[in-house]
Amino acid sequence: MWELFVEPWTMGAWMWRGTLAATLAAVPCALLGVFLYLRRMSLIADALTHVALPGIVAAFLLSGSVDPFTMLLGAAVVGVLASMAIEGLADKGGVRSDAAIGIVFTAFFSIGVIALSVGVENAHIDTACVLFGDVLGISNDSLILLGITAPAVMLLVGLFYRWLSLVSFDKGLAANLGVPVALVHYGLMGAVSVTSVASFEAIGAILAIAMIVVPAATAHILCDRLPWMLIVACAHGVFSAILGMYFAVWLDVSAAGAMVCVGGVLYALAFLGAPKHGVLVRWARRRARGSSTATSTTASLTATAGRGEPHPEVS
Amino acid sequence: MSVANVINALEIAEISARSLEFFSFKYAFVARALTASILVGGLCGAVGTFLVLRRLSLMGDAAGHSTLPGICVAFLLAGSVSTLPIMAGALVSALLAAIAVGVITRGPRSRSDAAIGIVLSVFFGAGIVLLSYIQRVATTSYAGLDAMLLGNVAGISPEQLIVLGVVTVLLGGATLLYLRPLSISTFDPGFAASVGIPVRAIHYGLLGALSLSVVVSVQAVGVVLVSAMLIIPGASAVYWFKRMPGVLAAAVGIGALSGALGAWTSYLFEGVSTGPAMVLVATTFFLSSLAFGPRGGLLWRAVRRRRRQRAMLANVSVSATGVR
Amino acid sequence: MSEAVLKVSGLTIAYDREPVVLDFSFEVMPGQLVGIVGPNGAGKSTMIKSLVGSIEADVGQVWVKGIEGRKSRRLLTYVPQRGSVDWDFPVTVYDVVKQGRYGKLGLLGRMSKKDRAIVDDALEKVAMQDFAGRQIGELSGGQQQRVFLARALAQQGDIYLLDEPFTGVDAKTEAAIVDVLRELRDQGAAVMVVHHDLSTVGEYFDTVMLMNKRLIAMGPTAEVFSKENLQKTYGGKLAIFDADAMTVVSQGGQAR
Repeated sequence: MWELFVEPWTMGAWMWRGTLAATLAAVPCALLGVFLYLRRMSLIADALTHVALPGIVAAFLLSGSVDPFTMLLGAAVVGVLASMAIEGLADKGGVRSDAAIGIVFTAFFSIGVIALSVGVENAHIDTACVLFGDVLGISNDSLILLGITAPAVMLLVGLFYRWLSLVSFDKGLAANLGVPVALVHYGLMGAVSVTSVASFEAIGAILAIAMIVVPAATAHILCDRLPWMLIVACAHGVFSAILGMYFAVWLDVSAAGAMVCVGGVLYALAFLGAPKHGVLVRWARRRARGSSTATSTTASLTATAGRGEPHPEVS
Repeated sequence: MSVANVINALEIAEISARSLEFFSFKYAFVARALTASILVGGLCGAVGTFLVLRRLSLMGDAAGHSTLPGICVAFLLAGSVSTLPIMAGALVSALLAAIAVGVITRGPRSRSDAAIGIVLSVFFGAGIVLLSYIQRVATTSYAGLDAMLLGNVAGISPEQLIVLGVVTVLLGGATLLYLRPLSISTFDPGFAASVGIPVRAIHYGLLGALSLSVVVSVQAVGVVLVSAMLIIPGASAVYWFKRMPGVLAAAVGIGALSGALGAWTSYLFEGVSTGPAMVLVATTFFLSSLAFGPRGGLLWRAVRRRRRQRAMLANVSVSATGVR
Repeated sequence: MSEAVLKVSGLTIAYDREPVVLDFSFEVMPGQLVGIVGPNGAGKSTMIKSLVGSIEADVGQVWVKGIEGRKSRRLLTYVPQRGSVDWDFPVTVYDVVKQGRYGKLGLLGRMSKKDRAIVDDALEKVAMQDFAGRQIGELSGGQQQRVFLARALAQQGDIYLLDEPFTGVDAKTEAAIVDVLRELRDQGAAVMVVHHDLSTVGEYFDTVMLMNKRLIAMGPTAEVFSKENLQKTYGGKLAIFDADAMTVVSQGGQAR
C-alpha cells in the first residue's frame, strides 16, 4: 500500500517536475483567487484565464518570438484590456455585468483561436496543450516562469495585503483613506493574467479557473479570518495538485483534470462537514436540539435557485 | 495554414468561387451545415434572451462546459458516437450541473458567481479526465476533440440535424405559447407571483430549455463558445426594442444570421472552426447595436446627453441667484 | 468667528440623466451636529458619497479645513449605510475597527501600543469590547452599526459623515449612538448625519439641512425645521399631524 505512494517518484524526473510545476501554479492561483472570490469576481477570473490565450497569440504574432517573458507581457496587457472592456461595457454601455463578461471573453477567445489556427505555423502553440496543459511533459521554460511568478505573487500579496483586503472589503473606506483603488484592481487583474500564462503548461487555460475559485470557496467555508483563508486556500491548491498527480499516474488520465476533480471533492467535503458551517454539521446540531427544522435544511438546499440577482429589467 | 495562404485566400475570385460552392448546396453536408447553423443561432438566441434578461448569462457557460462528462460517460456506455445516447448523456450532465449550482448557492458562505465557477470547472475537469481515458482506450481522433470544444458544423450528421430541428420546433413553440408568462416573470417576478404565474416552474423550465439547447448546439458551436451564442444575440437585441416580442424577434434574427455567416466564413477558411467564426460575427452585430441602437446605444445617448446638458446649464444659471 | 471646517460650493451630480444633486452650497462649523433630511431619492446619500470621494461630481468645489482637492477628502470620516457591507467577509470586529488606523499606518506600518489603545478605546465607547473576536456576520444589526461607528472613531478625525446610521437598529443602540455623536460634537468635531426619521430631528440635531436635489434650507433646528420648509422639501407628500411643526410624523403616506 505504501508503495503506491512512493512508486511514482521513482518512475522518472517527469513526476518531480510535473508535481513541482503544479504546486508552483496552485499557490499564486489560490492566493489571487481568494481576493477575486471575496470581491465576487470569480467569473471575471474565468474570463481572464480564457483571455490569456489571445494574449499569448498576440505577443507571438507581434514579436515573432516564443520567449516566455514576452508571452507574460502580452497576456498581462490583453488581460487588463479585457477587464477594462468588461467594465466599460457594464458601466458605460448599459450591459449587465454578467453578460459583459460572457461577451468579452468569448469574443477575445474566438479571436485568439482563429489567430492561432490561421496565423501560426503549428508546433509551438498547440490547441489542446494550451487548453488543458501538459504537466507531465512540462518544459524548462515553464518551470522557470512558474519559479519566478509564484514567489513574485506571494511577495506582492504580502506587501500589498492591507490594500488588497481593504479594497476587497470596503472600497469606500479604501478610497476615503487614500488607497489607490483603481491601481489595486488592475494590478490584481494583471497578476491573474500573468499567473494564467505561467500556469498554462501546467494546467491549461480552461482549468485554471478551478485553481482560482475552488480553493477560495473551500477556504471561506472553513475560515473566519482572512489570513487563515489565504493559508487554507494554498493548502487546498497544493493538496489537489499533488493528489491529482497521483491519480493521473495511477489511472493514466489527464493530470489537470484529476487535480480539478480532487479540488472539487475537497470542496464537497468542506461543504458537508466543515466544523462550523458544514451542511451536515448544521443539520446534526439542529437534530440534537430536537427541533423540527432539521428537514428544512434539505428542503432549502433543493429549493429554487432563484435568480442570479433581483429585478431584471431592460435598460 | 500560414499567413501567406490567408492573404491568397483573400483574393476575391477565390472567395466568390467558394461562396458560390457553399450557397449552391453542391454538397449535401453543406446544406445540412447551413440549416444547422441557422437553427442553432436562432434557438440559442431565443433561449439566451431570457437568460440575459434574468442575469443568468453565465449559467449558459456552465451548461456548455458541463455537458462534457455526460458525453464521455454516454460514449463509454453506448460504445459508439450515435446521436441519441450522446445527447442524452449531455442533457443529464447539464441538468445535474444546474441542480448543483442551485444547491451550492443555498449552501454555507455561498456566492452565486463562485457556484457557477465551481460547477463549471469541476464538471469540465471530470469531463477532461474521462476524455483522456477514452482517448487512450478508444480510437477517437484528435480532430474530434477540436470539433467538440470549438464546433464543426460541417460534421453534423442527418440524425443530429433532425434532433436539432425537433428541439427547435418544440422550444420555439413553447416560447410562443408561453410568451406572456415568460415575459412577465422576467420583468417583474414579484408581480408575476402575485397574479398566479408559477415563477418557480418557469425558472426550472428555462434551465431545462437551456440544457436542451446547449446539447443540440454543441456540435455546431462547441462546448466552450456555446455560451456566446446564448448571450450575444439577446444582449444585442435590447438596444433595438423595448418589449419582449421585438427583443425576441431581433435576437432570433441576429442569432440565425450569425450562425449562417459564421458557417460560411468557416467554410471559406480551412483552419477556422465554426464556433469562433459565429462568435465573431455575432460580436460584430453586438458592437453595431451598442454603437447605433436606438435604445441606449452610444450614439443616441451622446445626442441626448448634449441636449440635456444644454437645458441643465440654462436651468442652473437661472436658479443660482436664489436657492436659500 | 471659527472657520468653516467643511465648505461646499455649487455641487452638482447627474448620473447621465437628470441631476440628482443640484447646485448645492453650504458650510459646516466645528461643534455642529447636523441632521440631513429629505424624501427618498433626494440625493442625500449621493451628496455624502461625493464629498467622501467615491462618486465623481460633475460640477462644484469642496474645501475640507480650507484645503481643496481630492487629497483633503481623507480628513473626512465616513460611516456608510449598513446595507453595503459584505457580512460574510472573514474579518472580526477587532479587524474592522483596526482598519480605522490604516490611514495613519499606511501600507506597511505596524500597529503601535498607542494604535492598539485607540482601537480598544473605540470599542469600549460603543460597548462592543466583548465582541472583539467575533466574525462580523455573527452580529445583530445594531451591533454591526456600532462596529462601524467604532471604526470611524478609531480614525480620530474631526469631521464625521454618517449615512442613515439609525436604520434597522434597536432603540437601545440608537440611544447609544446618539450619545457618542453628542460627545464628538462636544469635543469640537463636526458631525453630519443623513437621517430618515423626522420625528427625532428636533431631539437629536442642533442644526438641520433640508434637501430635495437642491438645498432647501439649513440652519438651527428651532428656526429652520418649520412647517413651510418641510412642505417645500417634501412637496406635499407630507402629513403633519400636530399643529406644532416639530412633531411631524408621517411622510408620503407611510405611517410610522
